[in-house]
Amino acid sequence: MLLEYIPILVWICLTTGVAAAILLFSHLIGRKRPSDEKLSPYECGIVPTGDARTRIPIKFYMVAMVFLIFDIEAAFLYPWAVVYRNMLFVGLIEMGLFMLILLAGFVYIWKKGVFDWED
Amino acid sequence: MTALLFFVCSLVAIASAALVVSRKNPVHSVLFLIVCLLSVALLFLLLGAQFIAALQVIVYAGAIVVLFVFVLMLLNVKKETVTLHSSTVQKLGAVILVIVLLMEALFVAVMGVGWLSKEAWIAASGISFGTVQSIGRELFTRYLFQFEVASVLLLVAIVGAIAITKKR
Amino acid sequence: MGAATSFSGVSDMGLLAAAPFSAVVFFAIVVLLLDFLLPPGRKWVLPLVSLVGLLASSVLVTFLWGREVVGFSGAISLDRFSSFFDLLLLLGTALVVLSSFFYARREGIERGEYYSLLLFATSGAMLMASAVDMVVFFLGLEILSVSLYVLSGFFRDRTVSVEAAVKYFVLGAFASGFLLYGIALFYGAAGSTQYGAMQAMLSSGGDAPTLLVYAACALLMVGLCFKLGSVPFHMWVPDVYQGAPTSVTGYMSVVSKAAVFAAFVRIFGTGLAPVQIELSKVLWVLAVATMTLGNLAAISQTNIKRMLAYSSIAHAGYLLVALTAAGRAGYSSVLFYALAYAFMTLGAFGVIALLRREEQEALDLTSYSGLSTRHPLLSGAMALFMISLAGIPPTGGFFAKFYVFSAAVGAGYVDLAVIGVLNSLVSVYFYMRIVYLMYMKEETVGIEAPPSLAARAALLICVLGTLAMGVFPSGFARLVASSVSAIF
Repeated sequence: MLLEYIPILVWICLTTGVAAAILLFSHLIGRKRPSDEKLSPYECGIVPTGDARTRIPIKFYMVAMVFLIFDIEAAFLYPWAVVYRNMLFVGLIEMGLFMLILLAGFVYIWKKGVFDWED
Repeated sequence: MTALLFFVCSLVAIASAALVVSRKNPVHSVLFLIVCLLSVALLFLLLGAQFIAALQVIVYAGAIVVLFVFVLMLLNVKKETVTLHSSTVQKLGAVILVIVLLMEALFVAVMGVGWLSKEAWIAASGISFGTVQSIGRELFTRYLFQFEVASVLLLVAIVGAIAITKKR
Repeated sequence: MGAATSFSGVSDMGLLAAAPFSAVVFFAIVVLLLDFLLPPGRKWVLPLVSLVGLLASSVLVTFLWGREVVGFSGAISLDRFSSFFDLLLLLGTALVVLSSFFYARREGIERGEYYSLLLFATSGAMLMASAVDMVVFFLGLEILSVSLYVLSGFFRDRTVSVEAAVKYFVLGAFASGFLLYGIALFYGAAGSTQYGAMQAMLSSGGDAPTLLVYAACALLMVGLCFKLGSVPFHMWVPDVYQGAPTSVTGYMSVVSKAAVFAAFVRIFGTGLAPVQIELSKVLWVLAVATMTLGNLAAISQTNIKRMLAYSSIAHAGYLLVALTAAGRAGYSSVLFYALAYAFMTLGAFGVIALLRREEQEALDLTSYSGLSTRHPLLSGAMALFMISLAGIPPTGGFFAKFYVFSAAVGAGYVDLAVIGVLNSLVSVYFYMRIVYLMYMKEETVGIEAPPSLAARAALLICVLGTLAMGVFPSGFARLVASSVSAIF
C-alpha cells in the first residue's frame, strides 16, 4: 500500500532538493561583498525600524481563529464532495444544514465587524 | 519496511514533542511542533488513515500553527521573559509520569495489539477505511448526527472566540 | 449500488429524538443574530426570546414524554431518562435567564452572545443527557464547556473573571484530553463508540479485553470527575465560581453538573454496568474525599460564592455516594438530588445576584448581616435555600439526601451513609451561619436589593420547588423512578 506514496516521496525529495540546490549554489557561486547596509534585515526595501517582536493587534488573532474554524469546515467538504454522487439531494440537504449553521457564525462575525480593518 | 518507518516516525514525534516543551524560545517550540505534527501525520498514513493524515497537515500543521504564532506575537513573549517555575517534586512527578506512559506504550506495542507482528501490518494495509471515500460514506450516513452537531460546536467556537476578544 | 441503498434509510432515522436539542440550537442562533437588529434600549427582548426558546423545547419534550426513539443509527436516545434531564436542564436555564434580566443589564453584559451562549450550553448539556454514543456525548460536553469558558470570562475588565476563564479553559481542555483518550480506548475495546456495544461486549461472557476496558474507565472517570469538580480534580472550582458572573456560576453549578451526572449514569450505569462493582470501589473513595473536603473547606470561607463553590463540591460528593450505590435506587436518587439541588442552588445564587453594596456585588459574608430587617422576603427565601442545602426537613434538600443515603444503605454501603450523614452535620454549621447573620446580627449599611420582577419570579419558583419537593417527595420519587427505569 505504501508503494502508492512513492510519487509523493519523489515529489517531496525534488522540491526540497531544488530549494536546497538554489541556496547551496547561490552560496557557493555568488560573490559576497558584505556591507552594513546589506547585512541589515530586509524589510520590503524600507529602513527597518525596531525589533520584529512587537505586540501585534488582536485583529490578527481573530482572523487566524476564524480562518481555522472555516478551514475545519472546508475539511468536511472533501469527503462530502467525493461521495456526493451517491447521495445527491439528501447529501445536499445534509451539507446545506451544516453550512447554514456555520453561515450564522459568518453573519455574526461580519456584523460584529471582524473584517473591518480600520476602527 | 513499514515497521522501520513506524519506529523512525515515532522517535521523531517523541523527540520533537520533548523539544516543544523544553525550548526556552517559544518560536522554536512552535517549529518543533510542526515537526511533531508532520511525523504524526506520517504515522496516520502508516495506519492507512490517509484522510486523517491530510487533515493533520492542512488543519494542524497549517492553520493551528499559524494561530499559535499569532498568539505568540500577540502576547509578545520574549525569550528572556519566560521563566519556568518547577519544583523538584514537580520534576519528579513528571519523570514518573513519563516512565509510566512509556511503559504503557511499550506494553501496548508488545502485548496488547501486537503491533510488532507482521500480520498486523498486513491486515492494516488491506483495509480501506481511511480513504476519503469511505470516510465520506460513514460520515453522511452512520455519523450524520455527529457531523451536524460538529457544526454547532464550530459555531459556538466562533461566537466564543469573537465574544471575548472583540470590543462592542 | 451498495452506497446508493445505504443512503435511502434517511427518512426513518428518528429525527424526533433530536427535536428538543434542535429547538434550543435554533433559538440560540435566533438570539445571536437578533442582537444586531435591536436598538440599545431594547435588549430585554433577548432574554424574552431565550425564554420562548426554552419553553418551546420544554413543550416538545413534554409532548414526546414516554416515547422511545433511538435516532440517527444509535447516536441519541429519546426516552424518559433524557426527557427528565432535558426538562431539568431547560428549567435550570430558564431560571438563570429570568435572574439575568436584571443582573446582566446591571453588570453590563446584556449582549446577544450572553444569552445565545447560555442556550448553546444548554443544548450541549441536553445532548450529554440523551447521548448513547461516545462521540455525541463528547460533542455535547465540548459545546457546553466551550460556552462556559467564554461565559465565565464575560466580565472582560475584571481580573478575577478573566482569571476564572483562563483557569477553567486550560484545565478543562486538559480534562477533555483525558476524556478523549478514554473514549479512544473505549472504542478500541468495544469496536464501537456506542454504549450498547460496550454493554453487549462485556456481558457476552467472552474474553473481554479487561485491561483496555479498565484503562478506558479510569480515563473517562478522570475526565468526568474534573467536570464535576470532584476531589482530586476540584482545584479549579472555587476560583472559577468566584470569578464568573454570578448568574453563570449558578448555571455552572446546576446545569453543567446535572448534565455530567446524567452522562455518568448513562455511561457507567448502562455501557459499563457489567464492571460496576469494581468501579464502585473507586467511586467510594472519591465520594468520601469529595464530601469531606468540600464541607471542611467551606467552613473557613468569607466570600459567599467561594463558600457555595465548596458546598457544590460537597454536593457532588453526595451524588457520588448515589453513583457508588448504583442500581435503580441509586440512580433514581441522583435524579431526585439533581432536581432538588437545582431549585435550592439557583435560588441561592439568584439572591446573591440581586444584592448590591457600594456599587459592587455583595459577595462578602458580612454583607448578609441583618438582611432580614430591610428585606424580610429575600432573607426568608435565602434562609429556606440554606436550610435545604443543609438537608433539614421539610425541604427538598432533606429528601434528596435521604434517598441518596437510603440507596447507599440498601446497596450495602452503610459506612458511606454514616460518613455522608456526619458530613451533612458539618455542613449545617456554615449554611446556618448565613441564616444566623441575616437574622441575629446588626444591619449592614448600604445593602440594596433592587426590585426586579423577573428575578423575583425566578426566586419564587425556586422557593416553591424546594418546598414542594420537601412536602410531596413521593410524587417526585415516582417520577424519577419511572425516568430511570427507561434506561435499564
